Amino acid sequence: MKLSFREEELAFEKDVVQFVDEHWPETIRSGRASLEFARRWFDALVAKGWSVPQWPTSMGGTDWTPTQKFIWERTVARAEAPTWDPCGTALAGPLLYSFGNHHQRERFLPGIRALQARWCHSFAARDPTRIEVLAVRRGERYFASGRVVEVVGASDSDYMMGLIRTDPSQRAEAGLSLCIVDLHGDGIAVEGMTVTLDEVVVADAELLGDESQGWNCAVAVLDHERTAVRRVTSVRVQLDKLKNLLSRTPDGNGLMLDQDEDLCRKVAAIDVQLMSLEGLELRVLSDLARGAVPGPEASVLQIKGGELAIQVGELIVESLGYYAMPYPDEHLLDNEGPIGPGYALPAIRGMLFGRSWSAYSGNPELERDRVAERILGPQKS
Amino acid sequence: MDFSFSQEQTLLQDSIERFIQKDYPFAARQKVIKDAIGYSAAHWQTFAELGWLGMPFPEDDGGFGGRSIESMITWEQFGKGLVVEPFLATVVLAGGAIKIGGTEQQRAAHLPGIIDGSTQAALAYAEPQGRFNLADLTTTAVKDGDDYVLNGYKAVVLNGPAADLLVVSARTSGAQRDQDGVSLFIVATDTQGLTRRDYPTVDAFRASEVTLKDVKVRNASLLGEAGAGLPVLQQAIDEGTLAVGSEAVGCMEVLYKDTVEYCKTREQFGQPIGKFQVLQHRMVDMFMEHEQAKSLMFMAAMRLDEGYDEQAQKAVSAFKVQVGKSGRFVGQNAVQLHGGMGMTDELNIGHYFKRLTMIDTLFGNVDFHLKRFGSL
Repeated sequence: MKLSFREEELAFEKDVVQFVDEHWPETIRSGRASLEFARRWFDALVAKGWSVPQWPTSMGGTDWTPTQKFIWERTVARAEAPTWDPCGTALAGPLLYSFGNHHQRERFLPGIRALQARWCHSFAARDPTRIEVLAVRRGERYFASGRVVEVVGASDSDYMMGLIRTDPSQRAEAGLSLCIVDLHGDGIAVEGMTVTLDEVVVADAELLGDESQGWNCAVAVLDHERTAVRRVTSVRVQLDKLKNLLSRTPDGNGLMLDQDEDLCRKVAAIDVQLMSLEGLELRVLSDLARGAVPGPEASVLQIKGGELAIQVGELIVESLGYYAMPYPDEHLLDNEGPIGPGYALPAIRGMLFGRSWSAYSGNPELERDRVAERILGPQKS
Repeated sequence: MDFSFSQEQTLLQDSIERFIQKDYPFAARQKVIKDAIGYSAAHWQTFAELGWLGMPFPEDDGGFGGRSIESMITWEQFGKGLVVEPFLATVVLAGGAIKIGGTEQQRAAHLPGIIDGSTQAALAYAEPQGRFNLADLTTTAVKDGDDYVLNGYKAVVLNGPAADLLVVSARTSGAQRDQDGVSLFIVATDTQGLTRRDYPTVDAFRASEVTLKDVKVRNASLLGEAGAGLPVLQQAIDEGTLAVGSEAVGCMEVLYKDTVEYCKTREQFGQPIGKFQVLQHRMVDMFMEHEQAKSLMFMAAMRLDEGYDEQAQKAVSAFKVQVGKSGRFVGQNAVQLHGGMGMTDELNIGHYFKRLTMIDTLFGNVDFHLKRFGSL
C-alpha cells in the first residue's frame, strides 16, 4: 500500500495545475467571478479539448485514466473554477453518445462540447409513473402533448431530455420513450419549472434509443453520473476558507474567532470526518484504477459529503455574524469593493449553492435506498 | 396560568392571518422585493390604518398599548407570509428604543409619525468588530457646546435605505467594550456627514452600511441619559429577538405543513412519498421542533410581559437558541424533502429557509445565546 501518486501522475497533475492557473488565475478566484471570466474559462477548456474529459475520446473526450480524471476534478475544485451545468455534459452527452443515432450526435454533441447549449431534463426523482406527456401516433410521427413539472432550470435551457408515453396501454416505465425537446420550438410553453407541450411533433428519427426503452436508457445514464470528487474537494476548500475566516473575524470581546473553543471544536470535528472521506475517495479510486467496480461504499462519499458541505456552510454563516446578511448584486460591486469583509459574499454564495446542489445531484434518500439494496439485497416490491 | 388568547388578541391574530392569506400571496411578494424600495408602500399604509404600527406603543403615546403577547401574535403571522415590510426596523427596534428610552418630548416628536406610517426608521447598533456585543463600539459622540459630534461606522443597518431617522449607538465615555458610556442618538438621515451604502440582504430585505463623519446633532437628540443607553438598547434588541423568533415559528409552521402536503401528493414508485416511514419520521421531527420552538415563544413573551428583568432575558435567550436549532432542522429538511427544486427561486421553500438562516444570525446565534443563557 502507498498513499502518494506515481511519478507520471504527478507530472500530469503539474500540467493540469499549470493550465488551471493560467486560465483561471488566482487573482480572479477569490473575488467576483463575473460571467465574462467564466466564459473565458469555458472557452479555454474547449480550445484545449478538456471541456468534457469524462467522455470517450471518440466523442471528443479524453483518454485519461481514472486517476488522471480524479486529479483533474480535484484541481478544478481546488481552484473553484466554474462548472458548466452537468445536465448537458454529464447527462445529455452520455445519453446521446450511448443511444443517439448519427444524425442526433452530429446535431447536439458539438453544442454541449462547446459548453454553449443549455440542457435540462424531465426525469425528476426518477418516477416513471409521473410522466404525463402523452404521444399520439399519426403516420411516421408522434404528436406529444402534456405537462412536465419540476424541471429544474427549464426557463434557462435550450433543450430538454424528455420522456414521453408512446404506448398508453402501459403504466410505469414500460411504454416510455426518450426524446429531445427543443424548448424554443413550436408547441412549447415554459413557465418557471413547468414545461407544457401542445401537439409537439416528434418524428420517429427524433426518438433517442429504441421506442419504449426510454426509461432504461435514462436510468443507465443517471446511474453513471456519480462524480463525488468535486464535492469532497470543494468541502475541503470551503473548510480551509472557514479556518481562514475564523482567524480574521473579531469575536466582539477583543479576540479573533479562532480563539473560540466551541467553534474550534466544531471545525475540528468536521475536519476529522472530511479526512475520512478523503481516504475513502482514494480507496474508491484505487479500485477504479485496478479496473474493479467500487462497491456501495462509493455512495458514502455522496451522502456524507453532502452532509459535511451543509455543516461547513452553516459554520460559515455562523462565523460571519451580521456580514452573512448582505447579498448585493455583483455587478454593483465592481467599482466600490465588497460590503464588509471581502470573503463574506463568496462564502455565502458557496453555502447557498452547495445546498441546492446537495438535493440536485444524488438525493440522500435515494442514495441510501441504493446502499440498502446492495448490503441487504432486494427486500420489498 | 392561562395560555389562551383574549378576545382582542384572537381578533388581532385573525385579522393578520386573513391579510396574509388574501393580500400577501407569494408571487406578489416576489415582485415587490425586486422594486426599488423593496417593500410595498400600500401595505405599509394598510398596516397603519389597521392599527398594527401603533400596536406596541402605549396609549399615552398614541398607540394601542399592545405588549409582548400582541407582538408575538403579529410576528408569528408575519412569518407565515414572509412579510418584507420594514416593521422590525421601524416599529420594534427604532420605535422600541424611542419608546423605552425617550423623554416625553422625544416620544411626542417621533412616535406619531411611526404610528401613522409616515416615518421610516432604523436602529444602527452593529459594528464590524463588535459581532453580537452591543457594547463593543468604536463610534464616538463628543459633546461640543449645544451639539454632539458623531464619528464612526455602523454595519448592516436594516431598513437603512428607506429610513428617515436612525437611532445610533455611540460611545460618549469609557473604553471600547465598557457597559457604561454607551449613548443613543436620534439622527435624521439627511444630516450632513451621514453617508449610506445600500444593498439587499440574502433574505430579500434592504440594509445599509452607514458612515458618520463629523455628524452634528443637537443635545436634544440624545435619547434618555448620556452613558446609560446600553440597557435601553438591550431591551429593544430583546423585544426584536422575540419578534424575529416568533416570525421564525410562523416560517417553520408553513414549512412543515407544506412539506407534509407535498409528500402526500408527490408520488414515487407508484405511491406518495409520504408513505415511506423514513420520511414520515422526518416530518414528525419537523413537527416536534416547531412545537418546541412555539412553547418557548409563549414562555418568552409571557416572561417579558411580567417585566423586563433577568428572568425575561433568560427566556428570550432560551427561545433564540431553540429557534436557531429548530429553524435549521425544519428548514433543511423542507428543502431536502422537496428535492432538486427545494432551493429554486420559483418555490417558496428556499425563501423561508433563507429567512430562517438569517434569523439565526440576527441578534446573536445559538452559541451566543447559549452563553448568555448560561451567564444570566
